[in-house]
Amino acid sequence: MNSDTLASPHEPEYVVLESGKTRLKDLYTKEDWMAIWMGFLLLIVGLLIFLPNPPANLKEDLAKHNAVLKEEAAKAPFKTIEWHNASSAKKGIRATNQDFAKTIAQFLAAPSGWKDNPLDALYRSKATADAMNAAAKPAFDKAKEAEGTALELAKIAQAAAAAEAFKNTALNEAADKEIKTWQEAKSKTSKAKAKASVKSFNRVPYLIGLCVLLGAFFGLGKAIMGQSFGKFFVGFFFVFFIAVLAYMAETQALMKYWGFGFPLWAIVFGLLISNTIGTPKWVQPAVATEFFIKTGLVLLGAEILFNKILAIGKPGIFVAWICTPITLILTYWVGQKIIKMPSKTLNITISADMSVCGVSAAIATAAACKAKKEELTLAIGLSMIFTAICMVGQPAVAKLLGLPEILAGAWMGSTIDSTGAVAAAGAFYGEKALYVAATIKMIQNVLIGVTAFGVAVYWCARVECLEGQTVSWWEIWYRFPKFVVGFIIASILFSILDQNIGKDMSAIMIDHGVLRGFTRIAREWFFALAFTSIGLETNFKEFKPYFKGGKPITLYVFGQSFQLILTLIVAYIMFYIVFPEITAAI
Amino acid sequence: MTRPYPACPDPQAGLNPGLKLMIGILLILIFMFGLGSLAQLIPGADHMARVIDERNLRATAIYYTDFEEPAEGSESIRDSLDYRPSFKP
Repeated sequence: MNSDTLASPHEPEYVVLESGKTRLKDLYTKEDWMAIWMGFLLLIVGLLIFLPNPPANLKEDLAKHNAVLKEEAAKAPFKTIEWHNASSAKKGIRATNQDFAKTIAQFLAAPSGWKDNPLDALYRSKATADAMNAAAKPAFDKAKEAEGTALELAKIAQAAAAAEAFKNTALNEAADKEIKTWQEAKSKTSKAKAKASVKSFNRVPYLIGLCVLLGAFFGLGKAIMGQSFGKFFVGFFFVFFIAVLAYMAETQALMKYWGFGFPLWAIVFGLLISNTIGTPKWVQPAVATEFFIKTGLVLLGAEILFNKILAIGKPGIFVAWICTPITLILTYWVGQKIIKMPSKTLNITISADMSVCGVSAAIATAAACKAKKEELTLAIGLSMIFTAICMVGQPAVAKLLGLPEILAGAWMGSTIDSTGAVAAAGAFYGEKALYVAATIKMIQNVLIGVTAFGVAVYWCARVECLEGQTVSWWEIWYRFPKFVVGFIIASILFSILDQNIGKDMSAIMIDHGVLRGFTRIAREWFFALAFTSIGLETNFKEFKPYFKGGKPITLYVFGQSFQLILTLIVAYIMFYIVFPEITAAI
Repeated sequence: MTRPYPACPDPQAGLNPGLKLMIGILLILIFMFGLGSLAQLIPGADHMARVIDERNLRATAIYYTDFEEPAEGSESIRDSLDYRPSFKP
């Protein structure tokens, strides 16, 4: 896939290919470096847009809500109604809620959801929006009424407990129970409200604008590297169009339920074109898998915030950061020694994909070890199929075993590949399971940085060497995929920023500002373009050798089974034997 | 020798490439609307679809920043741990 280095059509196509000594010229002629500059340019733009524009009275409001939380925590042995209101009010403060951020989001937005008519993903008239709102209103009114009733009962129960100065255990427990019921009703109202307040839209002009902007952005990068801006720009329209179709396939109601996301569809659509009518010649200059992936990965680096690993305390670290590397290393070892996988890069890509967090881990690992593009495709395909199975199967098994919500959430969060599917499985089980599962997955997501860096170093220092060969640090540097440096630096810088501005402020300005408001959306588009490019340049025949003996499936099933058992045991020990006080507080 | 652009597969020989494309599109549509619907007959799948729909979850998200639930969940847990009820009856 590296256009600079391919020598013949018969050579293998790699996700990333980098070799040779570093020269000053590389800084503006190699895709690795260009991806770093372009990624950092976007990160700087994001910081300049959001950091000088915090929501009004941010510090005062945070101080006020935190004071209420502190006071209420000291007042009662359970989380009071006022405690929950203050916590909700904090969550309502987001840099992305401001008008300028909404405009950016509107411009960058992907196609919306649809069921029968694909055009619904691009255009919704006011009449349709009104009809949707009218249809959703009865459910919203019902949810609102249920929430009102639940709140009244919670207030009565809390007042009864307060009347006894919170010294009556039975009254305290009753109040706690009623407040939890109210919280669940409130959450349902919030979701019902979102369905009853949809707006009309026309995404077409924005998508055309975005296509021109992204085409010019990457075209400029290509031009600096010495390639034709014009040829790239013209071909880019086709690649972007297929990426839009991939998003539309993801948002189709049934596909959304099954977790079949845009990466899979982008590859499928690309493959379909390239293996039937062939990728048109005028499109080929814009088929730039590596460039899109590397730039996207630099942006992803900024989303790897190391402080997140403390989100659920020590048990979370043990579950996500101990079980996962053990599974990863053991699966890779079994793949090499017992299953005898046909390729080390396929082995590590599947192992990381299965043990860490699905598609995102597969992309980062494949790029770090210079895996072939069909290996990445295979790993993603496997991951999506098993994710769909686990998403439905694991909550059912957890119910059958009678697992408490926190244990089930931790188990599913650490073992279901895809981050979104984890939340769906958690929500299937209950509110607390959803929160724990999503948080554990978030902690595990952070492991991508360490995995990609570790794999890149291991590959340069060991795998790519002759037997017994010792490699100097300089040689490792020459071979090292340079964009990984950008990926790690972005992670370190944003982690430092995240740490220094404080947890609440970071959640509002970094997480729900720079990242979710700008760079994340761009990163997702870059990955959609990358997967489309993979499809457009892959021949079906290239997959054939990998299916011999069903080894990839055997590896996946082994690793997943091991992880399911190990995580369940470790999660139980950590949440219920070693740190029960944290479990009780959650 | 270096090539400026990636080696994309050439149009396939045999059956008309346009016809092949049409068949491919048809298969995708059958998968989306046919098999996708049938799969809902799997026990639990229908309930899962309802949960995803009610909560408007993005089950296809590939990273924690791609949807709201991890942020909501981690912030709730953080408040629960940082402002843990400390009153002893």
